[in-house]
Amino acid sequence: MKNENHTLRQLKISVLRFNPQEPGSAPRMQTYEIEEADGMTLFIALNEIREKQDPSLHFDFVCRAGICGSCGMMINGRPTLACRTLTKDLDSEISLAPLPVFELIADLSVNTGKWMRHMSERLETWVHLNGDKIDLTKPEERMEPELAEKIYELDRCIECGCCIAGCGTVRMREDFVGAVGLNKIARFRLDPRDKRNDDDFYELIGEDNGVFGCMSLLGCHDVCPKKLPLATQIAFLRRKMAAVGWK
Amino acid sequence: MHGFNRLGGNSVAETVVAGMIVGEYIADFCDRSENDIDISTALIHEALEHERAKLDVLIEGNRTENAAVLMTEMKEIMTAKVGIFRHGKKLAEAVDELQKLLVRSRNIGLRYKARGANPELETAYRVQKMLKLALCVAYGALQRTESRGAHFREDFPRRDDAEWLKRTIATWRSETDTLPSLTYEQLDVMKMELPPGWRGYGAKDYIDHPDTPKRTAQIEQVKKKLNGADRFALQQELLPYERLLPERFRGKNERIDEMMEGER
Repeated sequence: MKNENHTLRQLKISVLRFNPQEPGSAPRMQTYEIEEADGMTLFIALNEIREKQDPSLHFDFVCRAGICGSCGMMINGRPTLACRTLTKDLDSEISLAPLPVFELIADLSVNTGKWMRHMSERLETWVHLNGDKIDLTKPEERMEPELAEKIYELDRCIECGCCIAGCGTVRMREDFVGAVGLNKIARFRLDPRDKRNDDDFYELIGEDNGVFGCMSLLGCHDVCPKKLPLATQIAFLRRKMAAVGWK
Repeated sequence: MHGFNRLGGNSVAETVVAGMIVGEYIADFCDRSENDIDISTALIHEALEHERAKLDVLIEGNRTENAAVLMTEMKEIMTAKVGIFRHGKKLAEAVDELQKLLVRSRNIGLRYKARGANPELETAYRVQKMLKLALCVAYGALQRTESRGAHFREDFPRRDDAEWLKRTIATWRSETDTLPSLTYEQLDVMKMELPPGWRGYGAKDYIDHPDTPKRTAQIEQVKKKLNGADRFALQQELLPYERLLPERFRGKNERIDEMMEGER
């Protein structure tokens, strides 16, 4: 429903365009103009542009509700999720660019999956039973609700890549595991089903590409669209890992 | 597994348990040499060429329909006419309009003709299949003159087990068809552990399948015959399934209120 007093703006959305697959393609800014609608998110705006103006525009979306992590992009220079960004919160001139660090597919589309998989395999982000057998005929081990809540809080990470795009250390150390990786270690460290101890975790993150590389710039913490307590978790892990190192 | 299987909650648990069982079952199946299959590479090649030709036509043909426009129109039809409250008249219109869209979708041409990652190509390739699926839903709903679960017909508000206790199977027989061919698979009430009854909510207004009272009586008789035997004996009488499970999932599981032998 249109509000009489509310004039809909004409938005100018500038996109950094580049398709490495296309011969002769060079990075350039391209500006699209569309009329703002009530409740418009960048997800809606970009789809409208692609449907009505430019079918060649690349960007990724799946869930359009902030849970799949596909639509991370630089919005006016800040990494965040496009589906959760309302145009009314932005100026009428908006600039969009792909997340840095990750492999560029084209335009706003990047391959975060490849990076995340590499990180996951390196940090072994799964429950390690270390020889424990699960007896399927028995009820599951019980967990205190408070502990389950704590694990769940960290498990809310959607691997959107915003913390990596906002990280200073990643620019200096290509192999830095980033807040997303350290948060996962913090999550499995809490989990009583994971039988790894701090000595094991030290082997994974007790180095400059792990927890000691972080410069505490807090970029990850500031941009995380899920508001995960990343700086707190990294500081806590650093203390725990330092204790192992001093032994 | 849960009997009354509704949305979300129950089906999550069901998915996890079924995934565990089915995964094991498939691995066992593949392990047996009698299940080996022999597929000629020529057949695979043929299928590949068939799909490649479809993509080539989209990219290189000089056809004119816009995939994004068709997708939007399909969405609007489905929302307006195949939604929560359904009616024969609206459903018939939807089937008619979707068929027209399907015909148009065979004339899609791309404006952005790049190979490889190409969002318009993806939309074009998918919207043709989406329209077929939309027609399966709309046409199946039009034929089903009753209400059942999420399918609610304003013109047929009653559940009708006598006529409709059967599964719709939709098949696309030829590339030029604009409607799927529907067949129906009857469900056998006489083999059910729990014959369909009142769902526990809403008015008790439905038409029973003629076998339902028979099967209900039969179950009562079995219960009487077993005379207070445990639920495993009853399960074995009514619907034995254990032999179907992969071996390592057979046997009893401990429950909070059902400790296992010797552990009391």
